Amino acid sequence: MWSYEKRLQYPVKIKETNPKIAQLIISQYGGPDGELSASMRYLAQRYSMPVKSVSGLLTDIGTEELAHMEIICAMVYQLTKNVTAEDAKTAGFDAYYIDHTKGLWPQAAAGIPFNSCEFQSKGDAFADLTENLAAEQKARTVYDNLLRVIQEPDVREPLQFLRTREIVHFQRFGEAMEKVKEKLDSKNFYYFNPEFDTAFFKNEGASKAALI
Amino acid sequence: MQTEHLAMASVPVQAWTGNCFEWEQALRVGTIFPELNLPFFAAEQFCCGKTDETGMTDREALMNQISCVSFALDDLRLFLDTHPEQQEAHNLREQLVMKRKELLKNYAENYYPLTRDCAGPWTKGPAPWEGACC
Repeated sequence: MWSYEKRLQYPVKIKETNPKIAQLIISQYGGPDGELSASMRYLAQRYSMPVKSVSGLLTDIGTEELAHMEIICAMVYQLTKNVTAEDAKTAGFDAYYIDHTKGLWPQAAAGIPFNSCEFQSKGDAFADLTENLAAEQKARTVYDNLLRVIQEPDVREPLQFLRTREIVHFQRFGEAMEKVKEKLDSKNFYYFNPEFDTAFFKNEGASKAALI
Repeated sequence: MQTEHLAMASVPVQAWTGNCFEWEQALRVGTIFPELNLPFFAAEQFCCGKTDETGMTDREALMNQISCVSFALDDLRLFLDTHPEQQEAHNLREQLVMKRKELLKNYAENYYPLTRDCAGPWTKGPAPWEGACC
């Protein structure tokens, strides 16, 4: 289960209303490489992950991604809290305002709704962990792109925090790959799928012998 | 011992050096590990930042301490997930857990509860997304 803590992982205190920036940042809520996608990816993959420490890591990073989603939502909320109909008309927030007023709704910067097709849970440890390495890189690129175009310090600070987290998570998923490799025969990591061909995986000695 | 193999991705395993940022700086940067702080050119200026505590209310200063200690624990937890044998990191974790418990209790007694283990109604205190976290 999960239990809520009434604070943000990183503080968000944005002074100026700016619907244009909100429209860009919302991509990290409901966009293809956003935090909702990230949390759902890791929390979905963990069930069949065959190495306990790795399913633990997926749980912990998936949980942290939920906290990142909350940071992004807090930013969008504060950037649009005092928006007027006139602001919405002129600042590129008009289409969103018509459908959602100031309500939070997961979509990409270009208005495409959140879609679970953006992430994968493949049921194969190497396929999933390699996906996660790429996902962290893609999210870092989005934060780079945001940091290049946004100048407001109170918006940039949480963005650069989130960017560093992508790099740390990349490192941990890389280490998780090593944990999976340790359980397998390095002569051929692809001899069977450790999440599906469990008889091989449980009896590592036999599988290694079969290869020699 | 880590070795590389053809047709398989490989990331070097991080070594524990015992050298961490101060918790305050770690939160600003986004990691407790100096070796994982790899800033983007367009955001470099934030990477050595420190919060200016002057002008903070007592509540804000306590919330800031909670954020710093809790974040150090978040980052340490992921490190321990892939380095369960690292005793020094476990010891540091235990110290931080005790410190955090004390800070959360103090916050609940003086202001409002942050977790369901702290006494007080949910309606007390502002929502986190209203800017109450700094």
